[in-house]
Amino acid sequence: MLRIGSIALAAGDTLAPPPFPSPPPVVYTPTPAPQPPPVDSPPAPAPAPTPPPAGSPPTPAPAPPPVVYTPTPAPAPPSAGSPPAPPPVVYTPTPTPPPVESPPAPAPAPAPQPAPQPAVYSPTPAPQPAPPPVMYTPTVSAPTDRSAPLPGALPSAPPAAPGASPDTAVAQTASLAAAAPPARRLFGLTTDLGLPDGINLGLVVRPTSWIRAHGVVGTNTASVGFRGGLTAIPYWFWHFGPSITLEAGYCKLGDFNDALRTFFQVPSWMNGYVQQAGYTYYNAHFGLEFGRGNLTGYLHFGGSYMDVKVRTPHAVTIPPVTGAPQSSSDPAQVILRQDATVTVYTLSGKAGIIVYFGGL
Amino acid sequence: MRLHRSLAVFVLAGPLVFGCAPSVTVDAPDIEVTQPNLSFPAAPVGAPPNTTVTGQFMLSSNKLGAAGGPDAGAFKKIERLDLIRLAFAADTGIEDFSFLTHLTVTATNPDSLRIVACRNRPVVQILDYDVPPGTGAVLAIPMSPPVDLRSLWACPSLSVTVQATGDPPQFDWSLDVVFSLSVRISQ
Repeated sequence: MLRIGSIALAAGDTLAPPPFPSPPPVVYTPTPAPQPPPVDSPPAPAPAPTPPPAGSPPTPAPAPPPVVYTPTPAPAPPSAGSPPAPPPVVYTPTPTPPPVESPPAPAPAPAPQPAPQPAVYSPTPAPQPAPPPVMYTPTVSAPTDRSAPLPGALPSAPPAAPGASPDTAVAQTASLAAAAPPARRLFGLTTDLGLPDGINLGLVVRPTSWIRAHGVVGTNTASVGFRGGLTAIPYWFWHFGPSITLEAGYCKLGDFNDALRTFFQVPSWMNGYVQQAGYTYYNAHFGLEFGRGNLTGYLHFGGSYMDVKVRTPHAVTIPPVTGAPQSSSDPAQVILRQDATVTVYTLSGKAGIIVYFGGL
Repeated sequence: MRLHRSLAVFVLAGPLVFGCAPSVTVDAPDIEVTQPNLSFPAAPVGAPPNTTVTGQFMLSSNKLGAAGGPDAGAFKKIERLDLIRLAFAADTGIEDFSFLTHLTVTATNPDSLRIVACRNRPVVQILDYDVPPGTGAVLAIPMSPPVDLRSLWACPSLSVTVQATGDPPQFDWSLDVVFSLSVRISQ
């Protein structure tokens, strides 16, 4: 005799594991419909649950009735002699649960033990395929040039969900537009006025937000000029930003007029010799940019290197010295046989405005 | 980050503004100064060979950027003032320079009572040249090496004397003198 705990094994007994406790089978026992108690009599006390038989494994507490949505074929009707097997616990999410059908009215159970009431047993005739997931795929209506958005450009608003009202779609688009940054404009038109550049008009290209390139054509009042350059704006403070500009330009040889004499002052003795002038120049400016919307203004100031070519096609007369004995009464004449070169390092500056008008 | 970028801008911009004081340099490699119709007197009748006649003229070097002149302005630094070529062209009374055997050109600043620095100025010999026989109407003499004339440009006027030696004609005649200068002036 071997005793293990409360279990005694005799010789010849087979050691078998104790039966695993299993949920009690759901037994559909026709029970009569509960009859309302007579009015005069007190309500009958609830019957005590039937104690399990001795030696049987302990019965777990009755589980709540499982809610089962089983898209399975219709089960075979339970045989009369055997209790129906407990339905498998399967949770199959379905977007639209099948309509709840009331089971046939169960017969009243003979025992007062409250039997678990299955909520719904509604075998569906056939499993329904799950509906496709709702996907918001931006659609492009036509292959136009504007199909490729710029980095940072506003993405296309998704189409409204099927069934959404037009008001919903409009509100959605409006909210996206309000949150998006302003569209980046790549090209612009600029005009500026300064020294030694003169007055110019040209195009601006802004490949990134912090740098722009320009090419302009203009005049210094004497001849046509060209200029190109790069401007870097490392940061914007509100509507203002510091800038550095490097430029190179050229003004063709032209008659040196009074306007140029005003701005490019030379010693009086040299005035007669500077009859025509043209120059190549290089600007290195720092400045202040101020922009709002598609307008940008700027003030640049810094230094310039100028390589000026001076030509004297007509001889300059030098009057003779009066009162001196000399063998000629004719005045001397001076002419430049080769163009003179004037190299100038000077302060310079300009003011201008840019109107950005579009992008890719 | 903003501050760093802004400081970088101004650090770069500072030298551009404050390191670029206006500076002008004029380089004229070939300025031609012509004194026309320089007259020479006729040689006396029966004069011996190799007679010398003299012509003289004055230039206002103020109009040529003389550093001491009132119009010099800021261009007071004459870095280079070289005579690179001297030419003579027959004018009136003569057809060519075949009668010449020797030419001498000197220059000086005439005495000035107003400018002390221009008193008793030395005479600078510009040319001492033996004229080859059969010279035509134009005599161009390249100066090699160039003659430095800077000492003459400190005063507002310049006196040039041309002495022609040979067998000059016995009537008045004239020629044109052309100075070719190479100048570099800066502030």
